[in-house]
Amino acid sequence: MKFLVVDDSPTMRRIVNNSLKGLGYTDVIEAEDGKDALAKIEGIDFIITDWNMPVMTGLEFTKAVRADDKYKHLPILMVTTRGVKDDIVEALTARVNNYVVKPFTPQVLKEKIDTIIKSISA
Amino acid sequence: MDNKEFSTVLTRMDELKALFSFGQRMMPIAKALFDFLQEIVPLLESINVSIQESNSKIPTAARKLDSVTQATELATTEILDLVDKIALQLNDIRTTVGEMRTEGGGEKFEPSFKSIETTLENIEMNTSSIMMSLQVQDITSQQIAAVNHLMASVQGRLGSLVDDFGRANFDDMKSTNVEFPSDVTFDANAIYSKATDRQELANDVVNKLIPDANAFSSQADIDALFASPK
Repeated sequence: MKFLVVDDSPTMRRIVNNSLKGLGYTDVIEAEDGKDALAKIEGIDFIITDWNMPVMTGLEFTKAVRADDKYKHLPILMVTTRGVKDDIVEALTARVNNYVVKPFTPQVLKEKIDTIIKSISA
Repeated sequence: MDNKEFSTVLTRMDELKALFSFGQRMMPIAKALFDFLQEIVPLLESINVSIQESNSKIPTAARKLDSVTQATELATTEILDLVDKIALQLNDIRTTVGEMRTEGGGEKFEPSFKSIETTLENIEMNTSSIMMSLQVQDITSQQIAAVNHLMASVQGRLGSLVDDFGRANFDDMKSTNVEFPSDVTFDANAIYSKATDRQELANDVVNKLIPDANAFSSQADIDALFASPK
């Protein structure tokens, strides 16, 4: 399974990337914002994206992916500092598959990825 | 001059008298106002200078905050490099222990091998915890970006205030402004907390809106969620 990690923070990209490797997912590429991610989306199976990013936010990126017939079914997990109800609902309304609030633990990340993978393979 | 004209002159004189009388009553007030202005103008000038000085310090403060972000990012990268190195070294040790076991370490060494492996697992968990704690760097960067944004806003307001005094060289001040990047996005409410309440809220909302992770919610579900008390 090929992952695309989208975050403007190099630290966060590395932490998510390392966490994925710890979970056994070694095929990971990174993008620093939504626009960069759209350019790298070919061949991706799973997207993990931050919300607050310059150029194109995670929310805009999600909407762009969902509007594209070719990629609209790709699973998207949002990992963000935004933890208020309105934000969570807004992200889910934009059709992210699940939501993780930073700072996260590897257990939460694993649980969310497993839930999404289980539901798409069912 | 007939009676009517004479009467008009008398009326006008009465009005003039009333005006003089009013003027006499107003004189002390006008004097007090003049004294007040004499006192307040230097004070306003002092406030103006003070605002200009404060405003000119904002760019320095912003630069210092930016350098904090850069320094923490550098330090975080160094720590993550070390964490990666430790992970590789742990793997090497694990491989060596495995080789020693297969090359006939004997049963008597088995407890020692197990103990080493347990220690390796503990070190691995600890390094993982260190790595996860480094998320603080991203969160504090967003907090600093939010403060910088706030300072840019304060600087703009102070500049307008100085401009309104009509005696400031705000154009000169603008030349000392820090260029606050317009494309920086941040969550002003970002917090570093190990409390699980925010993730629990997210789980709750996710479960209500998309019980099946692939079945997205209708507007009615969203409206119902906002109507709920939590």
